[in-house]
Amino acid sequence: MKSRAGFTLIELIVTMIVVAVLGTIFAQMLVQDSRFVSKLEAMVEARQTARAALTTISVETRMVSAGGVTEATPARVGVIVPFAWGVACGRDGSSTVGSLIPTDSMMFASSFTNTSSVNWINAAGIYVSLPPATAPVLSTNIAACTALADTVRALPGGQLVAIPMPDLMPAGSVFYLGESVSYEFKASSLIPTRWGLWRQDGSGAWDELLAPFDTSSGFAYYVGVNDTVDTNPPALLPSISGVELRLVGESQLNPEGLSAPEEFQLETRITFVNR
Amino acid sequence: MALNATRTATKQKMALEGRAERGFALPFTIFMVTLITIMLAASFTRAASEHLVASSSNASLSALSIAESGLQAFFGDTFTVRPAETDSFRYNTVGGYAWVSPDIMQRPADTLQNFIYVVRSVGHVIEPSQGSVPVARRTIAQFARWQTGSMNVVGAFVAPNGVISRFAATPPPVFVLGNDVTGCPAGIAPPVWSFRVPDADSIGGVEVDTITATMTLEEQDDWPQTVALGTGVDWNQIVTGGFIADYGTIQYGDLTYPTQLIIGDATVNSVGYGLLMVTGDLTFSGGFAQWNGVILVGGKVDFNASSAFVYGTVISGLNEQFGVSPPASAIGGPGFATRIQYSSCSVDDALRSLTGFVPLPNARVDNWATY
Repeated sequence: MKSRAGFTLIELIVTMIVVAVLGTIFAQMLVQDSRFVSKLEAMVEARQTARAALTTISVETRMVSAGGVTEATPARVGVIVPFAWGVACGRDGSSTVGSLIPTDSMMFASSFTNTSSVNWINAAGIYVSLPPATAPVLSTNIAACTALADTVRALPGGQLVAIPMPDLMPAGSVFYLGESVSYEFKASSLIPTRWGLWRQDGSGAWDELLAPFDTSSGFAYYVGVNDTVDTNPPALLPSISGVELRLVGESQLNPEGLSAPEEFQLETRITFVNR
Repeated sequence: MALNATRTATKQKMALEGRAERGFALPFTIFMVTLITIMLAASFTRAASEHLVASSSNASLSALSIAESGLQAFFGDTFTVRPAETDSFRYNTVGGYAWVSPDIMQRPADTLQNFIYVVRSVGHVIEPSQGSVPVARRTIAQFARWQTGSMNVVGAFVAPNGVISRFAATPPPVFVLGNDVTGCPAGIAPPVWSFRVPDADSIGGVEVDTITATMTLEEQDDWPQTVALGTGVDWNQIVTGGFIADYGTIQYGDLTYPTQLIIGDATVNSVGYGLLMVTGDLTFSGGFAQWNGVILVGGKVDFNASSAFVYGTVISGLNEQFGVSPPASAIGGPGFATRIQYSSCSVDDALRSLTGFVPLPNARVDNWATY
C-alpha cells in the first residue's frame, strides 16, 4: 500500500509538471491569440474605414461630367454630382419642364433643395451648365411634354419636374440635375487628434463621415487622357478627367502590444464617365 | 470468515485504485476538449463573419459587372427592327444574368426619325448554393438614340457640284436611271430623278449639260450648298470623325455591305458593296468597276472605266455643304460605258448596319439606389 501511495505522488508530480508546461504554453497561446485577434480587429476596422470611404466617394464622383470639378487640392475635392436624369420638355411659365427617369424618392426629397446646376447635352455632345433661378419643384404639367411634336414621355415611376430657368434648354435634350458636393480630409471631431473624412452638401454645414485616417490620405488628379497622376491640380479644372483616391484608413485603437494604429491603404482611380 | 475478509479487502483495494485512475485524466481531458472546442467555434464564427462581409462586397461588385456586361451586349446586338417598348432582354453571364429594358423617353412625330431611349440594365448575381434568388442586384442606365439607318434618296445621281455628261452618240451607251431595279424583296420603290443638280441658268454653277431621252433631270432652283444640305447627309459629322466606319480602305467582294470611309481620293476598279464615303474625289477606272450600295463623295466622281456600274445611289460634291466648290463630276465619253441605276434594296443593304441603338455620349447613369 505504501509503495503504491508513493507511485501516486510521483504520478501527481509528473502530472503537475505536465499541466504547468501545458498551462504556460496555453497561456502564451492565449496572449498571442489575443494580440492576433486584436491586430485582426484593428485591420478589419482600418479596412472598413477605407472601404466605406471608397464606396461613398466613388459612387458620387464616378458620374461627374465635363466641367464638374469645382475645386481641387491635395486634401479637398469639390464636384457637381448628378442626382436626377431626364429629358427636357416644353415651358411652363418661367420654368422648363423635364421628365425624370425613375429613381429613389428619398433622393428627390434630400437633393432637390440643394440643386446647384442644370446640365444638358448640346448638339456636340458636350454639357452646358446653368444654375437654376431657384430650386426645382415637382410638376404635374404633363401637357408640356405631350404637346411637343416630338412627344416626351413620363416613365412609370418617373417624375416631372419644373426647373426655374431661362428658355435655353432645347426640348428633347438629355439633362441632369446636379448638386455641389465637397470632400475633405481634415482634423476629426469624432476622434480628436486624428484625421477624418468630411462631406459638404452645397454651402451647408460640413458633416464628418468617417474617421480615423492617416494624414497621408488625400486626392490626386488625372488630366486629359494622360495616365499620370498629380496631387497638384491643373490650373484649368475642367481638364481634370479623373481622381485618384488615396485612402489610408486607421484603427481607432492601437492593437495590443503595438504602439501605432493599424493602417489599411487603398488607392483607387476613378475616371469620370460622363465626359 | 477469513475468505470473506480477504474478498472485502480486495474489493476496497480495487475501488481505491479505480478512483485514483479517474481522478486526473478524465477531468483534464474534458477541460482541454471543451477549451479547444470553444476556441475552434470562436475562430469559425469569426472566419464566417469575415467571409460573409467579403462575399457581400464581392457580390455587389459582381452585380455591377454583370449589369455592365448586359448593357454592352445589348448595344452590341444587331436590331433591324425597333423593339417594342414592353420588350426586355436577358443576357446570361458567368455568375448571373442581366435584364436589359429599353424605355422610350422621346417619341418623334415622324416615326422614321430618331427615338430617344433610356436603356437600363439590372445585373443579378446568382449563387448556385443559395438557389435561384439573386444574392445581389445593381442597376445602371444609358441614354441612347434609335436610328433607322434610312436616307431620303432623291436621285440616282445627286450632284450639287454639277455633272459634265460626255455622252457619245454611238455605243458604248450611258444610262442614268431613276427607276428602281426589279427583284428587291421589299418590292419596287417609287422612281426618283436620274439627276438632281442645282439650276445653273438661274443660280450659276455647273448643271448636267445634256441628257438622253431615257433620263430625267431635276434642276433644283437653289444654290449648290443648299442642294448639298438638302441631301440630308451630315457630311460634317462624317469628315470630322463623328462616324466610325468598318474600313478605311475600299473592300471588294464583301457581301456584308460594310461601311468604308476613305480620307482623300479613291479609285474603284472592281466590284464592291456597302456604304462608300470618300472625302476627296472618286474615280471609276479599269476594265470593269461596279458598286452596289451608296456612294457619298466630297469632291467629284469621274466614271472613267470601260464599264462602270452603280446600283444604288451616288451623291457627289458634298463639300458644297462647307461652301467649297469642287469641280463637276463627269460621266460617259468615248469608250466609257456607264450605268447608274437607283436600287432601293442596295441602298437598304448599305444602310442596314446603321440601324439600331446608338449610346448618347456622356449620358450614363450608374449611381441609382433603386430603379
